[in-house]
Amino acid sequence: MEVPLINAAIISPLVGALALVVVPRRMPNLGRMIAVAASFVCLVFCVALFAKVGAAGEIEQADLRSWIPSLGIYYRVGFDGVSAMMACVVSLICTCAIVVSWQETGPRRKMFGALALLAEAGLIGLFAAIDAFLFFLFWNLATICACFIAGMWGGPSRIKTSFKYAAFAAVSGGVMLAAFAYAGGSAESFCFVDWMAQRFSIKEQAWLFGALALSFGIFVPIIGLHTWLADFCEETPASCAMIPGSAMLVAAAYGFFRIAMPLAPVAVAVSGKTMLVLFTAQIFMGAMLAMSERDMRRIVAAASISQMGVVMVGLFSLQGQAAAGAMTLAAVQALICAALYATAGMLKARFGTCDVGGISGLGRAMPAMALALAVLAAAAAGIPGLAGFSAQFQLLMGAFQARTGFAVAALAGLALFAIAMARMTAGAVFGHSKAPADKRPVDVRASEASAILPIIAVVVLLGVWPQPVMEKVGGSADAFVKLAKRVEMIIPASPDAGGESEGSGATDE
Amino acid sequence: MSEAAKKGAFLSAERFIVIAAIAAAMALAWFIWPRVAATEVQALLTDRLAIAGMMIICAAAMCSVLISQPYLAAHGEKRSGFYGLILLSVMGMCALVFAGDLIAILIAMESMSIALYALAGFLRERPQSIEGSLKFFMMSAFAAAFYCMGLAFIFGSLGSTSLATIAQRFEYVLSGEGRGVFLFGIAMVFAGLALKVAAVPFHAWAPDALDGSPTPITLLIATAAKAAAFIAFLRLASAVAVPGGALWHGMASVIAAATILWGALAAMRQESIKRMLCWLSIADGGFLLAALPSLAHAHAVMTRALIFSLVSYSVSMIGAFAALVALGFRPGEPLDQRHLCGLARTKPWSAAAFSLFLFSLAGLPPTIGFMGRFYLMISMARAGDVALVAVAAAGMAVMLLCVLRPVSAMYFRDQPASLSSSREGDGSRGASILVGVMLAAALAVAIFGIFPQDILAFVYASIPL
Repeated sequence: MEVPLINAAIISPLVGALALVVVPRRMPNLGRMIAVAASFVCLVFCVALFAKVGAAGEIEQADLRSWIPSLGIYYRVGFDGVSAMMACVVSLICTCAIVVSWQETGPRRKMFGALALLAEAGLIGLFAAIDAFLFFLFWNLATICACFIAGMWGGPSRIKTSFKYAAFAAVSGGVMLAAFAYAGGSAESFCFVDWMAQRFSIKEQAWLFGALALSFGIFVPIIGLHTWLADFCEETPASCAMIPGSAMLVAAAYGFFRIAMPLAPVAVAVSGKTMLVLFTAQIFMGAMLAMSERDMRRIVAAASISQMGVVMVGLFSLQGQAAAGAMTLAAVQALICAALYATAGMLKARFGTCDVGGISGLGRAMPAMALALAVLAAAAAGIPGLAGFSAQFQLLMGAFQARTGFAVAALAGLALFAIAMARMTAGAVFGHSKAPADKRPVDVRASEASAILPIIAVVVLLGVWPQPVMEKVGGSADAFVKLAKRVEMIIPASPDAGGESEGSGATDE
Repeated sequence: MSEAAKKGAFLSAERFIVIAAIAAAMALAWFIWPRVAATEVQALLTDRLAIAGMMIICAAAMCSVLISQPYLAAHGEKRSGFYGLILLSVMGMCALVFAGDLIAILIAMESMSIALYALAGFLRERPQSIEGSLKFFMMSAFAAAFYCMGLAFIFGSLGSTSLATIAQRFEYVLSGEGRGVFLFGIAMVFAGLALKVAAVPFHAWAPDALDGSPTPITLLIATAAKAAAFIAFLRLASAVAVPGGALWHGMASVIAAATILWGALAAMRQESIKRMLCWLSIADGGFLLAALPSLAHAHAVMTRALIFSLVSYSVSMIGAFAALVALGFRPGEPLDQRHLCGLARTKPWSAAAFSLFLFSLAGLPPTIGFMGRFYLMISMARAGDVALVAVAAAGMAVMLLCVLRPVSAMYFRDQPASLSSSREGDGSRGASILVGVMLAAALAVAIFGIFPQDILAFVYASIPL
């Protein structure tokens, strides 16, 4: 039997995780090889899938299998440009996290490898899912693994952190489940395509959108729901922060892109301005947090909050170019933040602190590390020639056409953000070296370089040659905008449609 | 010595007979299930729902008998009668699912309960066991009294105690003079049954009785007896739901929501693992109750959801209690959250299995507990009970945090030095039985959690539209 490539991409990390459980504890090198290999194989599959997906914005490479047909649940998977790009990015992040983790996670590193692989499978699966039930399953797989990762490694207050995270994740999961059960129950199907065709009444859309926006908003993270992120990233080792701290945020943005907004176009039209205000405020808040924090991991967490604000402003501009830029930016910033977390972890291992004041003078003591840090920070800040710029530029171009005021505000927020990044870089790179004069700490080791160099390479490559990604993402972004803006198709029919659907619900039984 | 050996031999012979009897009942149910057509003879209803209920009861009772042996051995208990009493209560449960008349329900329910009172207090040396048993008995006596009074009122106003007659003549009686008497009778009967299913606000006996009972009996009360009581509750509810209209819908919704939330919130505060499981079983009962409000306009859909949830809940509970017996580190001492610290390192497989069962009880995917909740929520959404869907989601979030506590102790914390030496004495005989029950339950939880199609098909065939 031939296994479709997309299933192979989902299954390969699962197989790796199972193999890790069987590997005896006294053979750590074999465990490491298996973990990295499984994740790398998954990455290769994802890249191959991305190469195969066309630019038309349709779901391709699909697979459909009967699963629980009596409830309208099928195993439906497929990739379009955006989800394939996200899958590539996430599998790259997971591979790097596993490589970095071997130094950090101590005697239970095998467990970390298994959890990271499970989380990877969950994330790839949720990007591939076309069925809400499948999406929910994979989403939970990823969040549960993240909770275990938070609880098992880190400082003394890691259990408190993991419960804080779990409380947010439980609210998110519960609300999502209620929304999915309602939508799936009334549509009698869990396929997203059927959901988009189902004419939910205005009231239903408002509730569904509210629930899903809360559920994904916790991970985007909207202002007020963001407090889990910085704690999580500070408390856990860098490799543990990489997956939840960057990949989960992308998954949440993808949730808005794939489900929440296309499902409820009327609610999006009505609440669009409110959401834009919220997300613009998020840009500023993240930038200001990044300025005020001293710990590098907290700065990176704040930076990701700010960047996700930009991403969401792009999505809610409801303009093709802006949406394409937004999804590309989400992917790029996840890569950059993951690499920054990894860098922070390396610095922590050398200096015993991630405080920007405590690691100053990197430029003289560890030039290679300083260069990596500077390139990543510059990419995040949107310096031309790196990936952050091309995505942000495209996003703002689109947003200016649709929502000029918010685009200007976002631009101002980005300027503030760039200052924050510059402050962090300058503080770390320049100044007197804090390293002891007699014993210079080692610069980047080969194993560490193998974790962050691929990410930097991708960031540079996408900066100078973004065209192939732009094309494929653009197609699906146009399809998204068409779905999320189809208000005019629904509003005239909605009173009747609402009445009909309620009536049919009552007479069904 | 020889006296003790004789007692032990008698006990194992008793166990063998009881296992054979329950297996025979199970086989019989399996055999007649495909052939049965819904019939009503006097006070007994024979339909596939009843046979399916009987299967759930027999399976749960079988597991409880199986885990009894290592439990009794660990407690040095050799007195006979234990298994015989289990068989007596199982007989009452099986009769209960067939009952189609208020008097038949009463007789079956009491013959089930009388054996359970004795079993709950079987470990006479432990004061909690006696206290729980007494509380159970007192509250049940009250419930039976309420029930009898309600039955008398209904008979007085209607001239019959058959459920079918109640359903037929409900509206007729409501328009007549005996209206108040009749409604009061119905309310009393429901109060009596609500106590048996531990619905808030009639749940107060449950944590003490379940916590005090020997663990296998806790399992028996929390699964088999609960399944039987729920099916009786369902039959009575089906009779009054349609004529009850908005009043029924409102009352049942409030009780279900209160049971879910109260049970889940109380479970969060428990130090003892067994007590936490008892509160979780109350909360889970709330989810089962949540199927009842919409019975009037979606009868088959909600009944199916109830039965499927009952199956998923029973499987998870069987696993959790088997794991609890396996983990009990010293007989007679409650297993606290702190005793679980570091278990993932010392006993990785037990820790993984126990976590799986706890996640299933909380309704986390991909477990059968999640499928049960999910199916229930879809059904409620289809029937239009959106508010209850929201309550159920909130309850699940709370339950997740609640089970995360023991899981975090097992996986996130290290074993404190003071406990490392004391975790002995659980090398009880018959541990392989426990492993077998846990393994079977774990496989069922995981496999049917992802591929529930077979169980769904069974439930669909048991309850035709």
